[in-house]
Amino acid sequence: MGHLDVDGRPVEVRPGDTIASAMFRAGVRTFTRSLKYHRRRGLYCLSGDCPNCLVTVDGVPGVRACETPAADGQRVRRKGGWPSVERDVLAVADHLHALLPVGFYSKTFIRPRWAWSLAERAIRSVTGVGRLPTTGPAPEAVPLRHRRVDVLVIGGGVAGLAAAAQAGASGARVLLVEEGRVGGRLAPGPVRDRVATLADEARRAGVEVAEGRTAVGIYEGPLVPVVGGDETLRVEPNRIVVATGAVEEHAVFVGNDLPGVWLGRGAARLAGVHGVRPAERAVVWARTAEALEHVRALREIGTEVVAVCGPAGLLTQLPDGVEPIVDGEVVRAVGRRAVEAVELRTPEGRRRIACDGLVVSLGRSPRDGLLRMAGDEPAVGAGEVVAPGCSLDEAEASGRRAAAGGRPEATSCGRARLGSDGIVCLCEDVGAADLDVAWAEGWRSVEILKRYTTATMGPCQGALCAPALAAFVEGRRRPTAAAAERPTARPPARPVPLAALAAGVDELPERRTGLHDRHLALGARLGRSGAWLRPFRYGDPDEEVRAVREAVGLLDVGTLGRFLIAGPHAGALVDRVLCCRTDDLAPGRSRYALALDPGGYVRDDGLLCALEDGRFLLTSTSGGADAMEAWLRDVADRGGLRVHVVNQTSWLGGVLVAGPQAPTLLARVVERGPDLGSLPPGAHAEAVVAGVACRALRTGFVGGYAVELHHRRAASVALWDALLVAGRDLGARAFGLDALDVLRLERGHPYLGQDTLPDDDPRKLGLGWAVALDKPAFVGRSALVRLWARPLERRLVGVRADGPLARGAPFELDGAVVGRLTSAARSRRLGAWIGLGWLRAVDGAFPERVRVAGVSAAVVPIPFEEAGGG
Amino acid sequence: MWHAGPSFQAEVERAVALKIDCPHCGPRPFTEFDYGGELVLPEDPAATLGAEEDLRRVFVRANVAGVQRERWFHAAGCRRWLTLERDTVRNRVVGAP
Amino acid sequence: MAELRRRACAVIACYARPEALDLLEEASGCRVAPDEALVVVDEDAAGPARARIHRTLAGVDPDALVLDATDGWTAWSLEGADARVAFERLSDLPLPTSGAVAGAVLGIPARVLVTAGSILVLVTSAEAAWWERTARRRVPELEEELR
Ligand code: FES
Ligand SMILES: [Zn+2]
Repeated sequence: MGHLDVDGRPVEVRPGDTIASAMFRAGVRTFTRSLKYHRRRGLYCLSGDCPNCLVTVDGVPGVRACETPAADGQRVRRKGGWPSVERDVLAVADHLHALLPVGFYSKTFIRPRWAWSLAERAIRSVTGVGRLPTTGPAPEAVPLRHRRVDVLVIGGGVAGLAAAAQAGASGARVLLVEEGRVGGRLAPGPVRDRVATLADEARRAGVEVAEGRTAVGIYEGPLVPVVGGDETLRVEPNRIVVATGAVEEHAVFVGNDLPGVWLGRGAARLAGVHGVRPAERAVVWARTAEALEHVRALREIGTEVVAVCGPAGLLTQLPDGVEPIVDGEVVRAVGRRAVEAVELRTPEGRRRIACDGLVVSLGRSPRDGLLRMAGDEPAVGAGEVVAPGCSLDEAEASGRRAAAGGRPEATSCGRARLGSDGIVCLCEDVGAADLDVAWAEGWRSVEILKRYTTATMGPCQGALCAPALAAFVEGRRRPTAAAAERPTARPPARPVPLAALAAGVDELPERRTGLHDRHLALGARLGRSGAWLRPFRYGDPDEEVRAVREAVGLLDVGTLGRFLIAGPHAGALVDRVLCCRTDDLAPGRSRYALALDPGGYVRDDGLLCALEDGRFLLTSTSGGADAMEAWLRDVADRGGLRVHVVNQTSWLGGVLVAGPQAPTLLARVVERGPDLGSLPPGAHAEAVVAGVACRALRTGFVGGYAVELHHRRAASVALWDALLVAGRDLGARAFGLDALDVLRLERGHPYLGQDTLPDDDPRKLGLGWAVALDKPAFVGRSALVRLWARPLERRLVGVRADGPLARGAPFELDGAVVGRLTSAARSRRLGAWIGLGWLRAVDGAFPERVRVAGVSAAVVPIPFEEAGGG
Repeated sequence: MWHAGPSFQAEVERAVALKIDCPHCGPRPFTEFDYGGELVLPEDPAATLGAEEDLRRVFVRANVAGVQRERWFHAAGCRRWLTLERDTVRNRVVGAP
Repeated sequence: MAELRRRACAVIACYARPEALDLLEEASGCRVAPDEALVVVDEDAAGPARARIHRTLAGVDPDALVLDATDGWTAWSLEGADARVAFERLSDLPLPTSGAVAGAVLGIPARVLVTAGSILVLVTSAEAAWWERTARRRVPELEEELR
């Protein structure tokens, strides 16, 4: 079967081995070092409920050795401990508890503050539960899969299998998830036989059994993420049966975390499933009938069971050679590296028995984290999770009842036993004495103690320690206090690898225009602008600006929002949404339009074009298209308007042709339709350009003569190529967003979102002229009436300076901040730096000069220049 | 004007799963929807409100701890608005008025 | 076994009163909302189909709009025995045995048409390149086709 490499030592693997069983057989007793005190920890539960066997396997930290099948060549590294887990000099911490008081983080390194960052680094280097790899390739993304089923059964024990089989037989689609293998934790015996029979029945009933999968939480919906099996499932069941069983009670006594102290089922599993002797000489502390089965399993593998202590009734049928110690209780386990002896309190007095194993079986606590976090989701428990310690028949019956959709049964929480000291929370290394200190300091409820001591907050998520913590609080309260209170259960119920959580997280969606390949061919530097991938520059942006000012430039505007608005109330909708006049717009005419929100603030802007038959084409900004569609529909819907809003943004390409030579270029390529070179401002027309049917819109965004050609997306490449070829001798070239930034700044056009704030009404932007306040009704009107009755306190202004301007710099006047620069660029044409920014009125007037990062700048009217051509 | 900078992105899938029953598309996770806030009736075009009243109209919402009527836009599906009633305490849709 | 292929088809967007759209008998389409339907036809059948749909709708609703939305959508077909499993890796939409749904696939708005042989996913043309790349990454079986 091969070998594991455990910290550089070969460890033999036999069939059926887990990493834990192989290591234990090879003599490994210390599997980890504890979080704070570096105490030795060994195998304990063998059911995935404790932190003791977490190792790093092939570079992946936090792997449970007891749940992971061993395979030849696996590199296993034990965590914690320096220089090694076996010889850990940091174990000195165990003798220095006074330096690591409970609430350590809250009490130390408060002053001086800088000390904390150093201390934190030091603390981090000696604590923790494994190390994330910082080099090497990032782990593969885990695939995500969505599943819908009628019934999800969590847990493949007797109750879970019975529930699944029953539900499957009734025709439901059933998925059963089991974190190990079905029956894999069970030693031969009646339980395993029953599991095998039920598993068979379930499979025949069409149940899908998924092994090696862990349900990590129950969310609203219900939604259950399931990890493992190299994928993450998001299961949306109609109903959930939680059959996660119970774990044996974690007893708190001095030395309870020494290697060699076992939960009964753990020892029985190692013996019965893996054929490995958990101890040579063992003492059993029993309070359950199940303990007698553990005794049998131990003796079968050859462990000498020297004594069993417990109530008289249990001890009547012990085999020969096993000493019954009636009413004996363990008070202490002693040993340096592992258990060497146990000390008992018996009615006859103290006793000490030499042994290398102590097997504890005192009761069961339900593994009910999932059930308790389910809230009012349709989840029911079945089997031991609701009735810890129930019989096989009861478990099966409970499963079958749950399949029929029974009401949730109340869970009963085991009463944990607390000694004078001992480790309560194995994960976080919190002892009973730590809880005493916290209690004395005044932390008096489960939730608060949890936060202060971090008990129950480790990888086991309270599976073992929550009942003990609850028992502690109960024991300290007056007898009249409410029954056991446990910390709130929250997802994840089990540790989850980050990669499993990241399943299904993709790069942000990216939009491309139909000209994407053309931009690449032209050597454009592409970047994201909102959701779109757009060209920022093809070469020298200054040259691109010059082309638009002196010849002709082409800009891909296939990103603009474009909406066809039709239907009987199309006119009513645009009139309500936009604050300009719309009723006087004849077909073929267009108007710059602002959409306001009910607060009078500018949401977006665009061009409104009246078409034939009472239809309209409305454009919006590239980043605002989705919101504009939603807004149009919202206003229409709430106003009861019968109208069709068609978002054509992704259907259409768009090319802006701008510059003094644009009319010449267009005259060469227009095949049908009006002469686009003489299209006046405020006009639009249909035309066939270079064989492509276009709607041409005269626009003013960059200044000078400019026309947007909107056309079907698939024709973009043909149109673009034809324009570049036909305009070659005119100096036509493509320009990108960097050049656009300069061009629009020269025109003084703000970018919504960059130059504007969420509470900008049109007047603050200098766009008051675009509002028809005499229109009786439009969205935002009454707010504008209110706002405009007050003097303007702040407005968007242009600034001009000789020195460099940097976006983001404050405007200063006599040392006081009076505004902020939101855009800046050097305009070669104007031979100056120009920018837009916010300026506040000072004593009722707007300053005429401000300082911007030490540079004196003049506040000037915008546009900075009227570029020629109309 | 052009919008600059990232302004909206698709939802990263999230685990909390409020479910909304869209009358056109069926029950879907809320991540397919955009939240539109409490239902506000459209402005009365003819109304001339005082400044105080107008401020209330724009800024003041009931913000109830309990059932409220609110608007959701089914962005990933039919792209229509729904009005529904949600219990803001339990975060559950309880009905459609 | 699952394969993802680009599918050429024509898309017709129809807007009309619900009673009018109720009369549509096109084999392959998605009733997005009471007043909107998306019809998918073979490319060469697009012209006649548009005319036929227009006749049907205009008879009931003179304001009906029938538009060629082919350029707005890019269609992908998921085929093969594991097509449904592959789809479960892309979306939590409940797939009908046949018929159509509108909803998020890979988190972006999509229209999904299910026929006996395949699952047809329509995404906006602007997002199609991103969608294909992401789909192939999400579904290991589709990955080797990544160019
Ligand atoms: S021994 Fe593996 S989790 Fe407890
Ligand atoms: Zn919907």
